[in-house]
Amino acid sequence: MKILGKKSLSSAIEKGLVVLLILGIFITISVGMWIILDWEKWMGFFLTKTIFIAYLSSLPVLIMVVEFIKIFQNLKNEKAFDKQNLKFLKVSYIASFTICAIYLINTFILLLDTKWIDTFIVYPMLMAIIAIVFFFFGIGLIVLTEIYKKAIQFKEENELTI
Amino acid sequence: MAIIVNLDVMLAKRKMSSLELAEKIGITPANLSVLKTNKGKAIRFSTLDAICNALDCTPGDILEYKK
Repeated sequence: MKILGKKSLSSAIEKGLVVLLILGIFITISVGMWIILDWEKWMGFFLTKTIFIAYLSSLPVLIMVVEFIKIFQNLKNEKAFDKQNLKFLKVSYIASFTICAIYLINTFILLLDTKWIDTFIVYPMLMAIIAIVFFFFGIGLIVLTEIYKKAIQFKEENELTI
Repeated sequence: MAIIVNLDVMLAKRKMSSLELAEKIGITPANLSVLKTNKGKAIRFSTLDAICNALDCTPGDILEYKK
């Protein structure tokens, strides 16, 4: 199977991410509208605070998807070791750590809500797991960025060896 | 970088054009230009050998170390 270039795995992933981005934007706007329209109903719900905070994470998620689309576009155009990819990866890991921070805050807010904590202990646990996943994803992206940086350096050195 | 490539000096001494040298040693004029303008990161022994052979000189005539 072809990984780079047109009609390859990168091209298919890029298309999939574009669909995901459109769906993501649609869901984000719809949920936002739903919250605004059903404001009174939401205010009485015990998870309102946590849903609002989780809703904030949609922005870094969408940014991350956009950056991944750009990376896969470059891979589709066979620009694997492009300096632009470093910038895209950097933005992606910052977005990943932002999501991690949002879910950590969410975890603490839920833990401090002693009224519901005994019944709904699963919610803070879930938020903590998401925070941990995005933390390690961010770390992985940092490592990948460094490896990429080295690869670009080696490529440049190779190109400038006469 | 402290290593200076004095290829243009040697070319002038031997009254040879860059294009002629590139053809003689079998590299592209663009790559020779990279070398001449000190933009290169490294030089292969085989390239150095070919340049010295074509210009009838030693590596010391082409490469110079400046502090």
